Amino acid sequence: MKQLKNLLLIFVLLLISFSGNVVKAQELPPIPVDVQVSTEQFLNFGAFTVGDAGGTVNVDHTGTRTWTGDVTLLNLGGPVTPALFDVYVNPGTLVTISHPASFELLGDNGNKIYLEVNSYSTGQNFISTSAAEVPNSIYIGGTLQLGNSQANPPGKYSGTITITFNQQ
Amino acid sequence: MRNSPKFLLFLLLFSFLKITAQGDLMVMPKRVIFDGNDRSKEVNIANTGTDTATYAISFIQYKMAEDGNFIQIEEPEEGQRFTSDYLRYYPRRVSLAPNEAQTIRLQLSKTGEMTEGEYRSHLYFRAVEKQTALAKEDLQKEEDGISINIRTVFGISIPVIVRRGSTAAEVELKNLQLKVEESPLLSLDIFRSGNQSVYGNFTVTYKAKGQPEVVIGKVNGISVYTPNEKRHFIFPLQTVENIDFTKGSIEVHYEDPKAKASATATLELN
Repeated sequence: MKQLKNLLLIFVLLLISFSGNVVKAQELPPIPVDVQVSTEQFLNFGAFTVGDAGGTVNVDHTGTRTWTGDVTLLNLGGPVTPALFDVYVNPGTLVTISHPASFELLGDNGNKIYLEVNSYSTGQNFISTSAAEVPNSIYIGGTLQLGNSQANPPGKYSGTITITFNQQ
Repeated sequence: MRNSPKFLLFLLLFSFLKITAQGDLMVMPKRVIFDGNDRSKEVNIANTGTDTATYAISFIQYKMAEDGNFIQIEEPEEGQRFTSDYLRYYPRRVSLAPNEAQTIRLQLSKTGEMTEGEYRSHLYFRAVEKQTALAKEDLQKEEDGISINIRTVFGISIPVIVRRGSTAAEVELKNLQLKVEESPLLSLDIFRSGNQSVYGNFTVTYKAKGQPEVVIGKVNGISVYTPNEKRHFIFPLQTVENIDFTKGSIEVHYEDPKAKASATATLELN
């Protein structure tokens, strides 16, 4: 009787070990190989005034606004915000951010203001640490180079900045 | 003497609290390789946003700096060849409703003119901004002021690589360094040789006597493109309990399964 019990036990153990093998042999579902980006927020420098000497206004990736030169920051107008992009990729994937060295904002008077994009919450090369369905939030800031009143007279200035997310 | 008060310019930058004019974009796959007898490939793009959007598709040329940054170029570097001269693709502009997808077809042409080795260009997808009635918002312009509108658009680029004839690559890892400050940072140089780019993954393993091995770092998809021979790479390692970075060793393994190129290097921490 005891022998029979032992045999039964061995049989059950064998069954369990086989079923384990079957589970191990199962293939993992394929990992999606894609990249997805969405724009969540624009870069906004808020309101300020510029005197004769010109200067710069900087908004970094944390949304902190600073200035140099003949600039007075005002708390009018819209909120000061860095640009925000949500990037979805597989965890552990490396993504590189690239863009031109500076962007031109063209005035209706024919003059130009230059904008340099120079601040990134993730650095220009970043490794995704979140799951594929969780976005990597990438905040981007920059600096406006403001000339004197002759170089940048009153008027409407507008421009588009293009940020590229490079896959390797 | 100045007969006018200090010249004040009001710079009013308008906020765009809600962005609906831009599409969200998904691109699949993340890279395209023409190998052997491949004549055509497909890339899928999908509008994952909530508004109809238009995307422009073009080729863009990059060289990679030693630190891995992409630098846009017009003319190839010495030893670099562009694929865009040998590829036809369509469509070049796509309007997609929310959750709509489109296949972009890439077809190789003039292959007779290609010689052995590797060609590379980058397919570039850009969300085209809508020409919205910005003028209305600009009416807030002050008499003596400046108004500025900055629109932000994004693009996604994926490499398109064509390999002809016999290609191969070898890699080596050198100059491993570990900096432990707030978090451990590993830096190293990847050296590539041969007529093929590499695209591989890093696995970093911590080893110490009497302790099980622990994987403390994984990064996927690090490339070194032809004609580059070197890439400097820095990446953070995980901080795991019971890991003492003053003893034991760190093994770094780089593997490109497709190019069959791999390299391992060890950093002794003593």
